[in-house]
Amino acid sequence: MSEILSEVKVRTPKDYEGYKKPTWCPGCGDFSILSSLKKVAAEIGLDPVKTVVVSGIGCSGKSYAFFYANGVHTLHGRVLPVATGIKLGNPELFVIGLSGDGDALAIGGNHFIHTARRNVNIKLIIMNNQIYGLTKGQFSPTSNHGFVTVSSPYGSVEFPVDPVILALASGASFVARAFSGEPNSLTEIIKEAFLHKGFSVIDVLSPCVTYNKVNTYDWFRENIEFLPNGHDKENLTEAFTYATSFKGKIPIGIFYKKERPTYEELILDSSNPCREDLYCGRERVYELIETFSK
Amino acid sequence: MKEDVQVRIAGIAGDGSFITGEVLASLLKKIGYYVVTVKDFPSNIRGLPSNYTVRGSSKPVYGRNNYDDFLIAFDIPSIKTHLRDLKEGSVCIYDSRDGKELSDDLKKEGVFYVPLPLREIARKELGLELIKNMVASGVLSEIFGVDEEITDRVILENFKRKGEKVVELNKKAVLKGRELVRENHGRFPEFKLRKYNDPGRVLAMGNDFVSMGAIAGGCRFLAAYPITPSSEILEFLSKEMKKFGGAAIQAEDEISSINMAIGASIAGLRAMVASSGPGVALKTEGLSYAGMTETPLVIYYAMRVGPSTGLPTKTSQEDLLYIIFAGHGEFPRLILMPATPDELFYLTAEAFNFAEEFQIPVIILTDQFLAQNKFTIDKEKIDPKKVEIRRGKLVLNGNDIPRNNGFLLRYKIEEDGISPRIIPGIKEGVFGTTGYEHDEAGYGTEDEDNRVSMVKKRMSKIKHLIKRVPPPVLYEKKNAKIGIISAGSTFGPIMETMERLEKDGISVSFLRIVTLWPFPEDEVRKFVEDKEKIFIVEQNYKGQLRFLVENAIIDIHKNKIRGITKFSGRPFKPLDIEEKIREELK
Repeated sequence: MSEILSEVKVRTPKDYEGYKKPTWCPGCGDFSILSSLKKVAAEIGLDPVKTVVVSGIGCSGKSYAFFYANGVHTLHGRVLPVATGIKLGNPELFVIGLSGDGDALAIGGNHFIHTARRNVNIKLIIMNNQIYGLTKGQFSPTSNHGFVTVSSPYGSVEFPVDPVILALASGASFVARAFSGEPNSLTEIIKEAFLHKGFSVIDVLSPCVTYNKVNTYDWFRENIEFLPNGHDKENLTEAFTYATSFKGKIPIGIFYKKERPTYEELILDSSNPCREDLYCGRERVYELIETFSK
Repeated sequence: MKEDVQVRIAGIAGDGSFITGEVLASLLKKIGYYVVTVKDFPSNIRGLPSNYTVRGSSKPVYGRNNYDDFLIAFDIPSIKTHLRDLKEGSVCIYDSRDGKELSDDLKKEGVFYVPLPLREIARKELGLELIKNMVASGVLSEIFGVDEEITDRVILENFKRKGEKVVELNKKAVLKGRELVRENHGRFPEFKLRKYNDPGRVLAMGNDFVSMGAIAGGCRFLAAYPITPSSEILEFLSKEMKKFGGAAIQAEDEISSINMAIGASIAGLRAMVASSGPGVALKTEGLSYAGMTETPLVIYYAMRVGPSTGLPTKTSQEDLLYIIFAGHGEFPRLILMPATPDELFYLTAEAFNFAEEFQIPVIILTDQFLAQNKFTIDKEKIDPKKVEIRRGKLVLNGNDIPRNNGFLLRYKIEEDGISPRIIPGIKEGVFGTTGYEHDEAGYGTEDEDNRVSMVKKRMSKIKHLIKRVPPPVLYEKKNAKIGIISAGSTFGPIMETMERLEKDGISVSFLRIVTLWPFPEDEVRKFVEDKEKIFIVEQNYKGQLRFLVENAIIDIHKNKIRGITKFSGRPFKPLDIEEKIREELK
């Protein structure tokens, strides 16, 4: 963490205000995610110059403009490959991925699995509202079976994917779920994810007040349940047990957290490609030419 | 003494044609010949017909010749397949395993047929049928008069990884082959090769030259998904990149690979992807994103036969128009088409300079023929020290450029269309980037005036780019009334065609396009205006290069244009071109 705790002048959440004011619908769950993000940034003294926020397409995608840091607004579903490239390009950068449920799990589903198994040190926050908001209300991969939307007028025949179970199964080294309507625990979880070294996934249940009239704040309050305090976070089996069945409710909290070498550490042997002299490969090319001219 | 020899080794995949070809290529290089290989192998691991052609010449050659001097056939069907490439005086050495007479339809007048019990010798005397291919190598070595010391060295180099036992067995097999020739003297035609001193030329496949060029050019990131015929780039750089602090990644898919490279480039690295048609098809959303975000990116694109999966292991130039127009929306791009080993090397290195200086995607467009075949080049013709690294308007201190609302103007409008390039983590300041239309700070806006100025900013790079890109190469013959235009790998056979026509008093000039896009309209127009007839040689059905030429010239010149196309998946032979030109001149 030392590299991101540099001598920054910013220390309060207000100092992390972005280029623009958020343009989300009033009451959107994403506001709470953004303010938690700023709080955590201020608490840990995140250096905006060394931070890159990578977002995708959809309401979540706009977040890159609402936070003071380098912002890379990528294509639909491509948050994780771009973030991986950035992290490998300069492993000293702190990389935060902000995705929606469609972004992370539908079009970006393959990248999600592979980034998790690689354990790239990226913090991925899934702003999960179980609907496609920006395209005006189609079902998403986390929408419930039978959910009626403009593109599922007879009720969705598909069953939802659970981001927590998928993350655990894919090998993510930090897996949590939070709820926008519980800002305190949301902030705590984000902070712990940020301090974790490795691919960290937080599935944040973030109600869409315009298009999702089923999974509302009230609905979530009745349907969520916090994981017990004594839960052994390093125990993957326990994490799966909680993730798959928990008192018939949606479990909230940190399911799993266990550090292992990151992808960039293994690939780069702790070097930083950004610091390398670009001419340094020349001598080696002479050697290669020699091997081909034997 | 022969100064040009072409050998084809044919059988089914698994027969060892490939290794025989590789060994022969090394042998020819070692006796001072320029070498070119043509691999013709199926998209399959074992069991389907495959062949490997090796040509050696005392002059630089970049393509196969019209006919084979030797055919080594490990099975009878191979004779049939390759009969049309044998001529009077050619030698067909085949495995006589069933002892049957060759049927008449396999016999061509003037061809020497030499049945040899290759398999039988390998099995009975060497204990391993598989090694018949090295017996064949011995046969050729003896016929060509290559010293045993040289063959021993080549075998050692090719097989030392497999251990001493394998080396010894191979040497023994070669010796068996030599003995066969000595014992059966008289059955073989005289075919001694001239011996030159080996000046230590480089013998490598196109993908190797590209990989070396990338390293010399400061590429420090490659993300790729295995695909024929570009996989060797991933394999080469996976081994090498780590040695100077970079990374070569095998991504989960083509889409991921281009987005990873874009990420690495945003972070400040010189980044590249390597793929072919089906992969580039998936990469186009990323290409378009790189265009909008003005992210420097090098795309290595080795064309193969399409559409769709097509013929994955065969060569084509079917994607010229596709890659010029690939990606939605309008944005500048540079497409370079190397034709020789030195161009593969230098243009790849230079691609990174263009990508960074102009903040655009740069495409190195080759094809299976160039990518996967081997070529020789004099060592001094590729010199890593001659590679410059120019990073363009890379900003290292945020205080050097203006801000808006605290955010640096990454997309500041400049006269030449090129904005200051900011990477994250520089001293002082942050920036934004997005695939949406954006303002100077890199944040989305739908403002009409902003849209107009941003489009103009990006597109204005083209007029500056045009002045800097490699011009076409002109091979001029005095008073030539006939011209050839081509791009890329058709270079070798065209040069030989010109020579042959010249001998009959037909002068032909040749304009070789190096920068496919922006298309060199002025040079092409001038070339066409000077000629009475123009032949456009390309490896596709539609005449895609012809389309570009016709688009560039004035209508009245269009009746001069003739297309010479080949789309069988196999590279041109000089004769393919020569015959068409002669026919047209009748």
